[in-house]
Formats: sequence, C-alpha cells, structure tokens
Amino acid sequence: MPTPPIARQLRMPRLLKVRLEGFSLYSAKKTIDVTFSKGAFCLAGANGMGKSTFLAALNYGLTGIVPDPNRRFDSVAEYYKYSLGFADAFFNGRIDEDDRDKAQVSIDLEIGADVFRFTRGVFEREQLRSLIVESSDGESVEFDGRPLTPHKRHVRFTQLVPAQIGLDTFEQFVFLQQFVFTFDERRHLLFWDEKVLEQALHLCFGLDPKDADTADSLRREAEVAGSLGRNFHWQAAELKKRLEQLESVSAPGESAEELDDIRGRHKKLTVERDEAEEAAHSAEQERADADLLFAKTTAEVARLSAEYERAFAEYLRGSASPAAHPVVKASLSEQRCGLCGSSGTGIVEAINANVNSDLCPLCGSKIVARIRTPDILKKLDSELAQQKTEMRKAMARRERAIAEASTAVGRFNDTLSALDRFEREYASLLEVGEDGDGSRIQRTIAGYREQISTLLSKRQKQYEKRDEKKKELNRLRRNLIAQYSEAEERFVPVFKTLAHSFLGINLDVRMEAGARGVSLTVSVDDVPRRKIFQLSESQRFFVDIALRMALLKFTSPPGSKASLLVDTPEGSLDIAYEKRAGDMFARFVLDGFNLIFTANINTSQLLLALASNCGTSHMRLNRMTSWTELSEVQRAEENLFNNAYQQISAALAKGSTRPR
Amino acid sequence: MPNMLSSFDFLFLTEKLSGKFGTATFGEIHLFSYLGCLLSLFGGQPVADWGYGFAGLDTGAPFSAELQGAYQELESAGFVANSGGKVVITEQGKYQLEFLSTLRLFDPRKIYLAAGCESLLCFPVGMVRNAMSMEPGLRPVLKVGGARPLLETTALEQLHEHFDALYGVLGQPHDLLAPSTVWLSYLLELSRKYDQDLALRAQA
Amino acid sequence: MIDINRMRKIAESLYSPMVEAIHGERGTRALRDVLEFLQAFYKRLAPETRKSRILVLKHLDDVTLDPLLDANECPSVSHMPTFSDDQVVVQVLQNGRSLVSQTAVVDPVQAAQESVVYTYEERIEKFYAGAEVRTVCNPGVGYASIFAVPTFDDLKLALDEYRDKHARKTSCQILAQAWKGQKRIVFRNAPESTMRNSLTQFLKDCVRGDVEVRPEQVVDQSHPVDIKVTWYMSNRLGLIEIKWLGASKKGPNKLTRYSEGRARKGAKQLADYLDGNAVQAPQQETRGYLVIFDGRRGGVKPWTTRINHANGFKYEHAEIVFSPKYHHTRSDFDPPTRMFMEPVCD
Repeated sequence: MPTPPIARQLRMPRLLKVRLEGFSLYSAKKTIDVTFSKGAFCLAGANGMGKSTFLAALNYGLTGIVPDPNRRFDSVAEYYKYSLGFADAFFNGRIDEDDRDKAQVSIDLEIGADVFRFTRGVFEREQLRSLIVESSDGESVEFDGRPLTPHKRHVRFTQLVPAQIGLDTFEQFVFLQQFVFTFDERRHLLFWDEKVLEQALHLCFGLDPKDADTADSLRREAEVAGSLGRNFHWQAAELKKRLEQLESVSAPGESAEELDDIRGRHKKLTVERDEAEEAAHSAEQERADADLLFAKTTAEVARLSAEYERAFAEYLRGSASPAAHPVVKASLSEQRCGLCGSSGTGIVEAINANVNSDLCPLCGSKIVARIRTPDILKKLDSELAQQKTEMRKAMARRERAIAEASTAVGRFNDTLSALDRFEREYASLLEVGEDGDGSRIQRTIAGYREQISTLLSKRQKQYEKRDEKKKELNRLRRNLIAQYSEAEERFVPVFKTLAHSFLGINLDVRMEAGARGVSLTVSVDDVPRRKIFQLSESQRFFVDIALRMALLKFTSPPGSKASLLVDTPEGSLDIAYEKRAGDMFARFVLDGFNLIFTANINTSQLLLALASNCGTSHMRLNRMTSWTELSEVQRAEENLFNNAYQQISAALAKGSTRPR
Repeated sequence: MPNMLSSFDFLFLTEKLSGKFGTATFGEIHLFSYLGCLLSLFGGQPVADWGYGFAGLDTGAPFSAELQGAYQELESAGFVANSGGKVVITEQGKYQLEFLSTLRLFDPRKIYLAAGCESLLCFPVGMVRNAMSMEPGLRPVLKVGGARPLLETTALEQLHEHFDALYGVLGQPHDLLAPSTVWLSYLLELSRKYDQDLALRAQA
Repeated sequence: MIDINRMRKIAESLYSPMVEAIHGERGTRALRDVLEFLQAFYKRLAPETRKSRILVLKHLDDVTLDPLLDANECPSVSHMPTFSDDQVVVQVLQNGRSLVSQTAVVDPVQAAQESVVYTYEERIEKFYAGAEVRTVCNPGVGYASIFAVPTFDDLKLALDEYRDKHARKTSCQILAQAWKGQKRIVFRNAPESTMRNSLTQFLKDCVRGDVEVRPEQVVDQSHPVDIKVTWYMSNRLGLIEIKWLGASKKGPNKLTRYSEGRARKGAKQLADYLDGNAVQAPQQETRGYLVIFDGRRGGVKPWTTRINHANGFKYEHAEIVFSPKYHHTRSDFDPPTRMFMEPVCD
C-alpha cells in the first residue's frame, strides 16, 4: 500500500487589530480600537453589552458574512450564497440610521508572511472600502487596492486570502472561520452535525482542498437526486391510487351501478349546496330588510321624541297663566309691584285688569293662545308609544334575522365542504363524466398508466444519479479516512490533552464511516457518546471547543499563531468545570495560539484559572464598561464583577512570575 | 337644561312628598328621584332611559341639574310654589300632573318614583337619607369627599352586584316594596356602623 | 364588597318579603294600607304610652272579621275615640276607614291566614302573615316604634322632642351608656361624646329636609361646637354645643362636678364662636344652639348608689340664669335647651 502524503497545512489568519466605527450599540464609544497581542484576549462585560456582537463584527469584517442561525447547512457554497443577506438584518438593530454610512470594520491580520489591512462597510455587501497587503516586516506592499472599485477589492480579497491560507475557495475560508474556528452564540456543535463535521474534516485532514469542495458538491447532489427520486415516487403512488379507483369501476356490469351511485350522490350534494346557497341568500336579504326597518323605526322614535319634547315645553309655558307667575302672585298678595316696588291697592287693580283682559301684566301685550292643547300632547304620546312598540318588534325581528342568516350561511358552508370533499375523493370518476360505453374511462386509465411509467422511470434515473454521486463521494471519503488514519496519531493526543484538561477524564475520538458519511465519535471512558444528550450541556460545549482547538493546532504550521474565537457559553458551565475550562484555554494559549473570547461574571473562575496560568505575558483582559451606557441591571452586574476583576488582575500579575 | 322627564318627576315627587309632609324640600326631591332611578335599574331599565343624570354632593346627597332646572320652569308656570324654602304643588300643578300621568311616556317611571316614596312607609325620611348615603355611588362621596358624577361605570357595576344579591335572596319579586325595604335596611345598617366607627375613632 | 349573607339574613327577618311570599300581591297591598294607617295612628296615639297590646290588621278581601262586626267604624284616624288603657284592635278598611274596638278578641295567628296583621306590645312589634311572623327591627333611637318616629322641619322643635322623649327618661339606648349605673345618679367619666352620639343619631333620623348632620371630630375651647347641621340647598348652618351638668365618676373616690357656671361658660364660648364664624363666612346664615344635659342631683357623694326623690329631682325646675342673655341680645342665638334627666329614685 503506498504511503499517503502528509496532510497539508492551513495558515489560518492571526488577528492583529480591529477597529469598529459607527456601532451605535456601543453608545459611549463611537470608535472601538482593540489590539490583539499574543495569547488570550478576553472581552469582559455584563449581559447585553454587545460581546457577541463584537465577535460577529470581527467575523463579518473577515468574511463579509454574519451566519443566519436559522439557516441549515447544506453545502459550503450554498451557505455562503444564502447568508450574504443576513448581515443587514443583524446589524439593523445594532446600528442607528444616522450611522449606517459611517459603520465599518477595519482589520489588520497576518497570514503567513503577509499582513492584510482592510476596511469593510457594514452595509456594503461584497465590497471593501480599502485593502492593502504588506509583508509582515512592513518593507514591501504586496497589493494596493486603492485603484480598484470596492467590489473589485473584495473580489481580490476573496482570491488572496484562501490562496495564502492554503484553501481552494473563499467560501471554504468562510466556512472554516465561521463554523470551525469560531464557537459563537449559535452553539453549533461540530461533533453532532455530520455535514459540517465531514466538510471540516475534509478541509483539515484532506490533502487537496479541491477534494473538500468536490465532496461537498457530491454530497449535495446526491441529496438532491435522492429527494427528487422520492418526489417522483410519491407522485407515482398518488396516481396509482386514482388508477385503482378507475379500474375498479371500469369493468362492465356491477361497476356501472357503482358509478351511477357515485354520480347520484354527487348530484344530491350539488342540489343540497344550491338549495343552501339559495336559503343563505334569502336569509341575508331578510337580515338586510330587518336592519333597514329597525333603522327606520329608531329614526322615527327619535324624531317623535324630539317633537314631544318641544310640544311638552310649549305646553308647560302655554298652560301657565300670567297670574300664576311667582312675581305676579307675590305682587298681588303683597300689594306691591315685584318689579318697581310701588305699593298700594291700585297695584292689584292694575294687574288684575290686565290679566282679565288677556293682557300681559308686564308689557301689556295681548296674550295669544299659543299653547299646544293637551290633545296634541296626547296624540304625540300615543304615536310615540306605538312607534316604540314598532321599534321593539323591529329589534326582535332583526335579532331573529341575524341568527337565521348566520345559521343559513353556516349550513351553506357545510354543504360546500361536503361537496368539495366528495369531489376530491372521486375526482377521477367525476372527471371522466358520462359516456355510453365507458371508453372515456379506458382512455383515462391508459393515460394514467403512461404517466406512472414515466414517473417511475424518472425516479429510477434520480436514484441512479444519487448512487453514482455517492459512489464518488465514498471514494473521497475513503481517501479522507486514510488521511485521517495517518494524522490520527498526531491529532488525537492533541485533542485528548485539551479535552482531558477540561473533563478530567479520558476522552477518545475516532473517525467512523457510515451510510451518512464520515464523522468523529467521541468516547468517554471507552463508552461512545453518539447522541448529543449523552453528554451534559457543559461537557458538550467544551469538548467541542477542545475539538476546534485541536483542529487548529493540528492544521497550523509550526510557529503559526492562528486565532480561535470563542463566545464563552454563559450560565451553562458548572462551577466545577469552570476552572478546568480555564486550564484548557491556558493550555491552548501557552502552546502559542491566540484565543479571542468573551466572558462575564459567570465565568470568573474560568478567567481566574486562565489568568493564573497565563499571566500578563499571555493574557489581556479588556472590560467593556466604557463602551456603552449601562442600564441599572448592567451596572449592578458590573459592580458584582469588580471583586472578581480585582482577583483576576491579581492572578494575572502573579501568573506572570510563575515559571512555565 | 330641564327636559320633560325631569319636569314630570319634579311635579310628581312634589305632590307625593307634600302629601306626606305638607311640603317637599329640594333635597328630598333630588333624593327620591335618584332612588327612583336606582329602582328602575333594579327593574332592568337601562340607566340612559331615566333621561337625566345626577351628581353626588360632598354632603353625601344626590343632585340633578335638570331637576333643579325643572323647578324654575314649573314655578314660572305656576305649577309649584316656594313656601319658606320648601316646595308645594299648586292646584294648577295638581291638575297638570293628573293630565300628565295619563301619558304613557311617564308610565314606567311612575312605578319607580312611587316605589321610592313608599319607602317612607317603613322608614322615617332621615333614615332613608342615611341609608342612601351608603349606596355604592354616594358612599365614596361621603367617605372621601368632593363632588363627583353618579351612575358611572364602577358604581353601576357595584349597584348591579347589590341588585344581583337582592334577586338572589328574594327571587323575582312582583313588587318593589320588599326589595327596596331589604336594600334600604342593609344600607341603613352600613350607615349605623359607619357612624359608630366614626364615633369610636373620635373618642380614641 | 357586598355582604350577601347579611343581606340574606335581613331578607329573612324582614316583614315585607314575608308578606309578599305568603300573600302575594294582595298581601303587599294590604301591608301598604297597614303601614299608612300606623304612621297616622301613631301621631295620635304614642305607642310607648300603651301597656296593653295594639293590633292592626287588613283583610286581603276586606271581609270584616267576626269579632269586629259590632266595632266602631271611623272614617279616618282623626275621628277615632280616646282610648282607655285596654288593648286596641283595628281593622283597616278602604279609603282611610277603619273598624276600632277595645273589646274584640282577635288571635293574630289565626287572623293572619287571610290578613296582614300587626301587633305592638311592650315595645315589640310584629307582623303576621299566614303561619309566619316577623319581629320588626327598630334602629331608631329611643322610639317605641319605627312607625312612630317623627320628622321635624325645625331644629328647635327637634331638640325639644329629644329633650322630652329621650333625654328626660334616658329612653335612648345610646344615651343610657352615659350613666354610671342603672339609677342614673352620676355620669360615667367624660360622657359628652356619648351625648353627642345620641343627639347626632336622633337628629339624623328625625330632621327632614336638605340637612347634613355631622358630629365634629375636634371639640375643645376654641372649637366648642359638637354638632354641625348644614342645610345644603341653602346657606343655613346650625351649630350645636353640648354641655353637661352634674357629676361624673372620675375614680373610685372622685367625682367631677359641673354646675350652672359651666352652662354660662358654654354660652359665651358659643357666642364667641358665632362671632368668629360670622367674620369667616359672613354670607352664611348661622344659628347657635346650646344644649345642656342636666344630670344634677342633690347630696351626691362618690360612693352614692341610691337616691331619694327629693335629691333626685332637686334640680328638675332649676332653670339656669344666663348673663348675658345671648338669646335675647343676638338674633343668631337660640334659647338654650336644658334637658333635665330623671334619675331612678327609691
């Protein structure tokens, strides 16, 4: 057996600097400048301050993509293509309208011997505002993007980066950066996503990145072919059912009766529907009529009430004799004019004279009988009472009509549904319609048979295509397995050491090939944990992080200081494991790799362990307190962190002096 | 602005109360009109049908601007007269009332107004007044102070609670005497208790 | 929050639901007639003066009861005869007429089968309908019957009534608590609040009109007024100041004694207060009323537990001489109302 070549290496980027501008989320600081020195860089802050956004912005700057957490991974190429639009939605809530044009991410990174310096506008898809590639000693400019358009700069970027790294396509870089070398808030676990893991394995252990691409395409094509084949199969099955129905009634004799029976029932349902429709229509008309009558009677009652009110007021006024007015009465009884104060018996005589002559005692006008007689009031009273009765009747009729219309419409809808169900069940028979000798049925049967045959043939073709692709894929997988086997003895110890420092128990990993592809299986104390729930959540997360660290270490050339991004899982770590997680991180960092990760008060034990191990020479802690205006809750959380922070600072100082 | 309903009520109540006491006071007319309105609610009539509204004065008594306006009109017409600050019905007023009582428009309210006045068969007027100060609309006026509109949603809900309870204990009465006396007795107990509590607090 | 259990208990104990339940509409009509009759009747005949029973009934069909076949028919209450001390039986008929007898023997329970029956005996009133009976609850202070509670237009008349009917013989249950002991020789310590409560309750029940009767919470030298009576539809205000005379038990061997000097002092306080009120609210028509609860006795010592008639009634007619006589010199000062309160003598 020929010796397989040694796996190639990937020079994944080492991040040097990042600048975020116009990120309104960081309300207190319009420009965020972060320099990543070697080792661990920790971004610490209370919940909701934007730690995850920082990592997402970093990755966005690198790749032009923000992963859509709801998008399923199908293939590397498809994932890139369909995720391009998500960045806008992600940043919309985090960047104000006024800052949209200003918002940009500027990154300095190192790949191999080159330093890339570039700026990407947050809302500018597949564009770069600037791009320069220099040698790492700063002596020469390898590429100056200034003359190019933003899009062309981006295109060049997508060519240069994978080439420097050792990948075939930019999409592969995006995949590795977003899925493998970033553990983010999506909590997408490599171990338990077979498609993602297989692609990662191809890229990390495969000899040729093109193989990874090919495997990715083949897998996707096989899936699509299989799906199409199943569709054709299902369609054929449906047609078969209808064919059986037709065949069952196409035989002469008794089947004609069955057909007649079906037709008869159909006719009955149709008639019922028509009758119900007619009834509903009538009921609706009755309701409209009742509505109108009610409106009319109500208006009439209102009119009569107003008329009554006027008549009543006039009646009261008119019924009063001037002599009954209090001023006149008082004047008469006191013999003193209530207006001018004159007194004497002459007053009484004067007033009485006027009153008796139907003259107003005040102004002397003739008092015209302008009253409304009681009869008019009585008449209005009677009319109003009657009209109120009519209104009550109209109301009752309206209520009844509404209820009846509702019932009729309901009944109509029921008949519609029944007819619809019947027609769908017997569609084939009803389509055929009546004919004297059943020839139409036969023609339909023949047609169905032909269709079924075509569908089955198509199905077969798709399955064949699927099998062919799978065969190709399996070949590639076999290569991968062979390559992995070679790499295993170097890779597995790396992983085991990292994982052991976290779990404290013996963890093993092995590649397995099954019907669904190639995957890694982890065993704890020699017992395989194939199902995700067979490890606790904390264990899962950190074993996964350990895998990523191991992959990065394995694929990186010596002296490479590639960066792993980790959005530390908050709240899911058991206290017992926090310190161990810190130890695991420390081991990774002290082996010369860079770790950019987030933390909050819940992971202070992790930070303490990391700080103690790393010291200031290999770790920096950056508190986000000055980045944003804190809410009351956030301020409280930050205050809680103060003590822990002091301890970590002390541990950092102490860690620096420890012998390594 | 008075309306025909408030005018009728004023005349009706003046006649009823004058028959009992010789005269009617303004406060009593407002009180028994309000009681009549509440009894109409008990009888299932919508509150809007009463035709005019009431406010609670900070003395714990009800008042209606329409009723008071009706007095002006009726006095000008000579149907009622002021007698030492109280109201009496004139002969002309009696005649008019007799006629108006034949009109069907006023049939429903006569029942409730009369039923309200009939409470005076069982209680002295002072007790009716004390009891009514504990009615859900007036009670907060007395306890908290400050005039406020009556027959608002909250008070109506509480009133309906009272009335539902009355129906619960009495069933469907054919007459208003029993429910009105039960209710006023209940409210009177509350009033007594309120006075006792006030007195105890003052002593303490 | 409505207490439905309490309402139920009231309904179960009240006579009007009983009558409706037993005799239906006819019963309710009959009950109305009985109630109307009682109010008119008790204006003529004070029930507390009666030692023997009063029975009033209304037959559902106006059929004359056998025992009343030869009774007097009276066209109205005002035509009724003067009654002896014997029991009184009345059958109420239509249109204000009635049959009256002092000799007829009527069993209320039997009569109640076809009538609504009312009885009054020893301050206990009952209604009978069918086989049911209900005792009438009388929340009124000091009146033998709730149907006999008067209504006053005039505050002065109301105070006089209170003096004669409630204070004199301490008929009011609230006022009774002012005394230390059943003999009504000395008052309890600080009896003024009890007196105020009693008088307040009486005024609230018995003064008609547009009044609000409010006991004052702060009563001291500068605020001598005990009760404010407001006529809220006019600008009239009545201010009542209460003073008590006599002795109150301060400790086992100590009595607080107040004599007529206190009444005079009270008059001055009230006059000063009226002056102050006139300045503050000149548009208000205010009138002052000085009410004196006179519990003075002769020869009372801290250990006195019994009293003879001479000592007990020593101050019955001892009118207080006021100087100055504010009720003469001021138009806003009503003549003081002295309420002599009788003791229980040996």
